[in-house]
Amino acid sequence: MAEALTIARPYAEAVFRLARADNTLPAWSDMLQFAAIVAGDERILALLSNPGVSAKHLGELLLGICGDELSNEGRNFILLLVESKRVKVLPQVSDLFEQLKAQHEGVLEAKVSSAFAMTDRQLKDLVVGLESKFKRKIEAKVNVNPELIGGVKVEIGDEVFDASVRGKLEAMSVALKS
Amino acid sequence: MQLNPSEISELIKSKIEGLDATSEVRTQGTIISVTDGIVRVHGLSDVMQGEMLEFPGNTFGLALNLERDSVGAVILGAYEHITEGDIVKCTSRILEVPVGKGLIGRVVNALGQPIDGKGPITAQDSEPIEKIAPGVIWRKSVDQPVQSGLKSIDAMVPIGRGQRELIIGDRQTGKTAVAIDTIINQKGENMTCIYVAIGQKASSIANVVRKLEEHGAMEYTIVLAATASESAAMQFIAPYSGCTMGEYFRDKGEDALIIYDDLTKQAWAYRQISLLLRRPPGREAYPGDLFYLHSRLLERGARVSVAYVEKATNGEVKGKTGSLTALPIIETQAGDVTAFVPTNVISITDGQIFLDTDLFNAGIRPAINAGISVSRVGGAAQTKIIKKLGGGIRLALAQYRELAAFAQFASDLDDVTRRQLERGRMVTELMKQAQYATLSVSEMALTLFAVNKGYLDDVEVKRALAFETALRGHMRGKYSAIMDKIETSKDLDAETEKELDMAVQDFKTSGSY
Repeated sequence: MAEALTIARPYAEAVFRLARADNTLPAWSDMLQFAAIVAGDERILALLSNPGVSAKHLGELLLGICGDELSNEGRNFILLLVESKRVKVLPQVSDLFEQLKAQHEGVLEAKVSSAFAMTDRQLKDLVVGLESKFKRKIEAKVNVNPELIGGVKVEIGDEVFDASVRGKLEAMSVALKS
Repeated sequence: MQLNPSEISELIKSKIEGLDATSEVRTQGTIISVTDGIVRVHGLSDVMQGEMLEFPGNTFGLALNLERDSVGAVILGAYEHITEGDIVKCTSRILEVPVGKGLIGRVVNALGQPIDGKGPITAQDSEPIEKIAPGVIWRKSVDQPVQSGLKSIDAMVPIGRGQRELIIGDRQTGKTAVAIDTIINQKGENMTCIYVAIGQKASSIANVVRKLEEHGAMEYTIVLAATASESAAMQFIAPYSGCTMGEYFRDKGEDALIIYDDLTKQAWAYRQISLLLRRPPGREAYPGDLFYLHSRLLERGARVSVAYVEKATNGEVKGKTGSLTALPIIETQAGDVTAFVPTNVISITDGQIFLDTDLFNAGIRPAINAGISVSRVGGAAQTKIIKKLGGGIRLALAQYRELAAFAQFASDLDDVTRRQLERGRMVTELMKQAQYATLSVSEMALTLFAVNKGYLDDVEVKRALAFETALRGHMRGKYSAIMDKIETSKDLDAETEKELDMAVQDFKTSGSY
C-alpha cells in the first residue's frame, strides 16, 4: 500500500494542480471516485494482469464503462494511466486527491467514535473545541461504538485523542504488564 | 514482570486519580505488512527515529526506517500474533532498560527482564539504551589497571580501567575463556562485571553462568543473554542494553567491566534487520552504517572525570572517577583480520588481543599471539611491579618467534642465539596458564622475577610450570610476608627485591621441584 501511495502521489498532485487551475475540483473528485470504483472491481483487476489484453483494448474498455461520467481531460487521464500501466493505483490517486482537496479547502475530517449517541449540542461543543485547536474547519463523522464502554475517541488523520474508558483500561493494562 | 498486590493497588490508585482529567493524545498507524519480524506501518506521521512503538498484545518495537509513506519498524520479541491491519501507537519514548544494583547476580534478557527464575528485579531506575558517549572534556586518561589474572595479558598487553581492548580470534581459540577468567579475577577489586552474550547457544550461556557461580563471581556480575533462538532485534539491542547497565556504575563513580561476546553476531543480526528493511547492502552485504553501529557502542566505554561523576549524580558523589572497561569479542574466519567487521572494530578499540589457532593447537594456552597483540593505552595503567619485571616480554617473545622460525634452517648456532632461543622457549612455556586459575599480582611477579634472574635457566622447559607451582607453594608457606607486602604495595623496592631473591634461592637449594 505504501509503495502504491508513492507511485500514486505524482499523478494525484498533477490532477489536483490541473483541477485547481480550472476550478473543477468537485467534478474531478467525482470522476476519480467513480474511476477508482471501476478500477477496484475484481473483474477489471483480473483483466489488468492479463497479458492477452492489449493497452488499446483496455483503454477502450475502461472508457466504455465510465461512459459519460468522464470529461475529456478525465478520459485522457485514464488513457495515460493505461499507457503507463498504473490503472491499479487509481484508488490511491483518488484518496490522495481527496486529501489534497481537503487541505486546500481547509477542512479536516474527524472520525468521532462515542460509546453512546451524542446530542447535537455535545457534538457542536466538541467540533468547536477541535476547530480552535487545529485552526481548521472540522467535518465530523460520528459513529456509535459501544465497545468503548464510555467517553469518546476522535481520530484526525494519524492523530488520536482517546478519552474513552476502553483506551484508559488498555493503557493501564500495558502499564501493569510491562 | 511479576508484581505484588500492594504495588498493583498503588498503581491502580494513581491511575484512577489521574483518570478523569486526562485524555490520551497519540499518533497511530496501521500495519501494512509483517515479514520476519519487520513491519511496515502506514501513518505514524510524528514518529521519531529509534522511537519505541506499541503493538497489540503488550509487544513493543523500534522505528528504524522513516520513509515518505511508511515507517519500517522491528518487533522486539515474538511477532506471531501481529497481523496486517493492527494498530500501532507512538510512545514518544526511547527503549529503556532497568539499571541499578538490583541487577547484580541476575541473568536478564535484552530488555532487562529476568530469565533466571529468581523472581522480579528490584531496580531503582530505568535508562534509555541509546545514549551519547561522554565528550572530550569529561574524560580522564586511563591510568589504573584491570588485572586479568592471566600472566600473558597482564605482562604483554595490559588493560586499563576505561580501556576498550578487543579480543579477536577464530572459533575455539579461547576468546570466551580469557573474558571469563578476567571476570573471575575481579573478585574483591570493586569492579562490577557485565557479560553480554549475543547469538550464543543457551547451553553455552548456562555453562558460563554455572562457572561464574562456582567461582563466586556472580556476586558482582550481571549476565545479559540474547540467545541464538531470540529474534535478530533482541541480538541487535543487547550490547546497548548491557552498556546502559554498565554506564550506571560508571556515572556513579564506580568501575565496571563489560564483555560483548560477540560483536560479530550482533553485526549479523543488524545485517539481517537492515536487509529486511531493504537498506542497500554494501561490503559483505553489511549496511552502510555498520561502523557507526560499533563505534557508538564502544565510545561509551570510557574513564570519566571527577567533574562528570559529580554532574551525573547531582553532586551526591564527589572526588571519584568512574570507568567502563569494554572487552568486545570478534570471531574471525580462518584468521582473516582484514574482513569488514574485524578491521572496523580493531580501528575503534585501544588495542587487541589476538588468539591464534596454531598456538592453541600447539598447547600454548591462552593462545595469545605476541606479535600482533597490542594495548595502546595499557602501559600507563600497568601495575608498577609487573611493568618493571615483565616490560620486555612482549618484544622478546615476538623476536623469539622470528628467530625460532629462522633457526630451523641453521645446523649449528652461536652461543648467544642458542641462549636467546632457550630463554624464549622458557618464557613461552611460562606464559601458559590453565583456565579458571587466575593469579594475583604477587604470584605473577614471582614467576617473572624468577625467570628474569635466570633461576629457571637450568630447569628443563617441560618442568618449568611444575617449578612455578612449587615455587608459589613454597613462598606461600614460608615467605607469605613478602608476598603480602608485594600484594599491597604492588611495587618492588630494593629491600623487597633482596628479600625475594633470598627466598627464591632458598627454594632453589631445597630442590623440591
